[in-house]
Amino acid sequence: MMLIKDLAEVKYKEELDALIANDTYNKPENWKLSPQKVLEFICGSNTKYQYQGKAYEIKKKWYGNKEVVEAAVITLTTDRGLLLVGIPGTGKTLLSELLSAAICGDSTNTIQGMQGLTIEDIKYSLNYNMLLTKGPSLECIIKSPIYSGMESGKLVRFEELTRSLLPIQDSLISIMSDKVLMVPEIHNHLVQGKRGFNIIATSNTLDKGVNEMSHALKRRFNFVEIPTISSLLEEISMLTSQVQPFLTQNQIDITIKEDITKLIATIFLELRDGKTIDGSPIEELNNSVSSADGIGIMKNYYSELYYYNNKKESPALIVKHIKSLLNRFPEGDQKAVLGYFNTIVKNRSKQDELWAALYKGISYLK
Amino acid sequence: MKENSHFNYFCNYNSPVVYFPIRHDSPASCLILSQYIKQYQPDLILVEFSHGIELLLTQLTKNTTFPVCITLSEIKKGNSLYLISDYSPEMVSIKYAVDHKIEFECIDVPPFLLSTTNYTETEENILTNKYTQQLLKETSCRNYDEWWAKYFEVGVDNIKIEDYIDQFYHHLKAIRDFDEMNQSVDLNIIERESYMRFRINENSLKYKRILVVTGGYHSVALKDKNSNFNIANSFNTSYLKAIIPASMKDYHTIYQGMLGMRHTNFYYHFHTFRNDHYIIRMIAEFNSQLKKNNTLITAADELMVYEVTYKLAQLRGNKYPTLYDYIDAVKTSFFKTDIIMNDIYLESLEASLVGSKIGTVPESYKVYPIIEDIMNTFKRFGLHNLSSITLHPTSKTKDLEISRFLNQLSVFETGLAVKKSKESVYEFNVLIPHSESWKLNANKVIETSQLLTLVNYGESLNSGYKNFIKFKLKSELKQFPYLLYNSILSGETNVTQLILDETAVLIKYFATIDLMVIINILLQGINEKEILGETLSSKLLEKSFLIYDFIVQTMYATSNIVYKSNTDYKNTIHAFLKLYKYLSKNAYLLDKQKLIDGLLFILDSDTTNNLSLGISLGVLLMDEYVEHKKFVEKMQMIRISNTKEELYDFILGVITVNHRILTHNDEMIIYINQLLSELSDDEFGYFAYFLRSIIKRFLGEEKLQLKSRIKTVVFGKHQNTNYNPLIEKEIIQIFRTWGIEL
Repeated sequence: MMLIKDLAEVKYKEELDALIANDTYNKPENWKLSPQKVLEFICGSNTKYQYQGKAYEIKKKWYGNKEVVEAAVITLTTDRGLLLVGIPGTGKTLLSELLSAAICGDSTNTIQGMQGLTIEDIKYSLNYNMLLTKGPSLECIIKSPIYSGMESGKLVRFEELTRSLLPIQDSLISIMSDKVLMVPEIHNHLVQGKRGFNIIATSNTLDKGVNEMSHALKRRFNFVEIPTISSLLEEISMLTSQVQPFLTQNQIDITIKEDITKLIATIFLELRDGKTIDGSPIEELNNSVSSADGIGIMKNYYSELYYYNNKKESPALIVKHIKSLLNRFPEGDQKAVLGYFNTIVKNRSKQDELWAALYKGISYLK
Repeated sequence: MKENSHFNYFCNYNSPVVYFPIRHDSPASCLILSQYIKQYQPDLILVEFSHGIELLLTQLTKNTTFPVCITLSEIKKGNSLYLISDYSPEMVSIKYAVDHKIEFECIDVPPFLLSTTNYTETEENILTNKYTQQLLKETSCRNYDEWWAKYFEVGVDNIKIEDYIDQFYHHLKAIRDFDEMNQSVDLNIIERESYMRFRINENSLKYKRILVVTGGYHSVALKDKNSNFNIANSFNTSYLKAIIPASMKDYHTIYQGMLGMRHTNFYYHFHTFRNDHYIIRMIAEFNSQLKKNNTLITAADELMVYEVTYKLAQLRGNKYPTLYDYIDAVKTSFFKTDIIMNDIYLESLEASLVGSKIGTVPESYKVYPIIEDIMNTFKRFGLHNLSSITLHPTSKTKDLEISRFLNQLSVFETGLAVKKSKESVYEFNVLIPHSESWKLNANKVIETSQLLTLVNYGESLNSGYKNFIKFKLKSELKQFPYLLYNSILSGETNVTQLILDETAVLIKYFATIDLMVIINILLQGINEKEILGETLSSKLLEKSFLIYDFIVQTMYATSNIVYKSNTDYKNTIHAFLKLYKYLSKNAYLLDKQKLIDGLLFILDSDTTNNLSLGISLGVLLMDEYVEHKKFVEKMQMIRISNTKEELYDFILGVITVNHRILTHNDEMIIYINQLLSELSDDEFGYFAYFLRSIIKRFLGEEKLQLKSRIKTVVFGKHQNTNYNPLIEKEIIQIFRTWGIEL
């Protein structure tokens, strides 16, 4: 049975193997790839790599500024952790996953930040049943992802770090400073971080931002800000690369249309930037619409076409899905989007059939 | 080098005229240029500076003249016209010319032809060019700066001169061809280049080996605009991997002593140290900026920036870190707050690297006063132990000298000498004996450093300044004062004109930035002559003081006008009135008519905009220092050569300060009526509204033939686009401060 989502290291196994086989650069200890090849794995490469008699193309997997990835990779070669910061939907998690897959071949060593997170989740917990029956031994330790990462020299992903409570966050400080984790219950067992261990954390600037972090913890991280995509071409490429594979994987036999992709990319880029492609100002939204939102709408649209519309294109339906997105936004933003449709989309509909078809869906917004 | 290479075509060592392409402000361009000049050995160097300022530039090439930069105040903020510093490629070539006693000439359009409002930076063309965009994409660079840094600035290490020039031309030609094809070369640039070609052609008849040094964008067009270029192979990536050779031992000496400004600061450090120190230096400078914002930066942060910078450079294939590697490292390692705060820090970084605007020196650099000079002079006059003194300058020679010195100090606003009182009455051409009292404060020297603009970039206060003083006393005379004194000695009558000519040029270029440097150059010459004082009669010496005072005071005050004229209408009026008041009261040693002539000359030399020119003339007209016909002549001239708006500005300026012109000058009334008849409704308001207020108040409406028309337009609906109630309000307010209700 097909899985809903493959792990990055599984999905791109062949590419990773080809890169490893062709990597001539210096690698930090316990890294599977050199920083140069990690960069190629994430940002794509024109070179085709030979591996076991086949040539492998390294596809672009993450859309955004290359220098951001460069800064992230380099941070992981230092003794500071990496904190990816940005608004929701900019690809922080994806980048974190790709980095882990490329650097240590394991993107699953992950902690999810949340209110209920405990120090045990960060460090370790004990199997008390075993402890009572066998007495204190290393077998009794239930290792956290950080424990495992330190022990084996692997990366640990900490999703939404700032969602967890401050004292819990701060339990990372000593781990990141000394690279040491002590288990007093088991004969003061000491876990020393092996080379290759580091933490990739993410934090979303819209909810509990990085300002919630203690200064002491901030000092243990280098911050890399993930900006939103600002180029139409990049936005289109990103949508295409994300949506078509999803449809194929989910056996939705439909091919996305270039003009529809451009249409959605344009709408999202304009709403995000607060101006049209040709520079005319439009009302800015208080909430940001991310690339991930664009992907979501496109997936919904094509799923609907496939299951309910006999695969027949109907751009007005896009508006219906935009409305679903807007439902979580405040009223002001909903009005702003309606205004955008009533002015910009309406004007374009007079000259362009596709925009006219889209405009027919305006009733969904009212 | 291949026969059909760009190098061969543009820069062949055997060519009678060669076109060396530079990037302005680039230390790497300096290096290659300095090597190339030695190989080519020109007998004439032509440089992209305004024609006619050669004499001035010669002054600035002297080792002891402090690096300065020139901006024109009329150019929009942030643009520099020319950067003159030790690492400016233009300056490298001029220095070579001066040192080797060969000729050099500036070939860009002269100041009076340069339409500063339309001035276009060629780099703007380059940045928006489609070829550049494609090139940046191909090379994964964010912008032209980063591309240049990667391949030409830190890459300069291992490349041959020929390859460097060849590759630079390779891109320049593509960039220019794109612009030519799209007809997007600015007309202003075409005009400037046409002038440059004219000067090159003129000189090619007289010289056999001419080196033309211009920004690369011009270089391509100067030799042959229509040469064919095959764009198909324009992205020659082999060069991009090429590395540039290291023979930079003399580099250190070429680019010594200057910090600051744009990316150049960073690469200056790079070329100077060529090891880890330049990054360390930048980190230290940046930290000092951040500390001003009370930002905590620890040694661990510094180390992290250092580590990340180098690792990023390595990852990006840069042999040495570029500015962008460094900035990315700073962003990643220092910033731990919201994005908005990051912007503030980045601005700090920018300030540390660039200064408040291009062409200025960052505030963080130390500014040293002329401590020794002032102290010594205080001692020489026996003033150092005094807290006050009363002088009789017109009756005692020594007092005159002291007075000149103290007046000079007061111009610098150092607070070292404050004039308490003065008893003098000025009548036309008659000097009434007077006395003046001064409050002295010799100990205040150190605290006044911020007020003086003479900047010593050397490491040590003493060594830098001592060298300067030493030179001042012993080295050769600067050319300009030399000419001046020759003229004085030979009794030429046009000496004032000579000074005014030079002053006008100086003001035009230096009013906004390094006025005091120029004053020092003048001062230097005067001191030289003081040493040679035996040869001068005391009368002549006195005359030189008068002239000197005039220059200093006029330049100082005029600079205020020039500086403010573009930004604040109200300040312009006040600045001129202040100047007028200042000169009337303080310039007691001056011949009044010469003062007026001088002012007119300066005001007339396009240093101000037309509004302030009008205001200035208005004030002069008010006291009848200028004949009305001169005003009308000027008005007609402006009408011919300027836009209508500029003409309104001029007339408005005059009337604003001098309403009597309307009652005393019929020609003016006729002229204004004629002008009004030509106004369209759209352009009517701006001019007519003020005019109406003034005319109504001082003249009565009956004198206007176009009374009804004015009423329709001005009292109508104010639909005209130019009407600005704020300006009106301000004008009324200014008049009110003079006790006049409009």
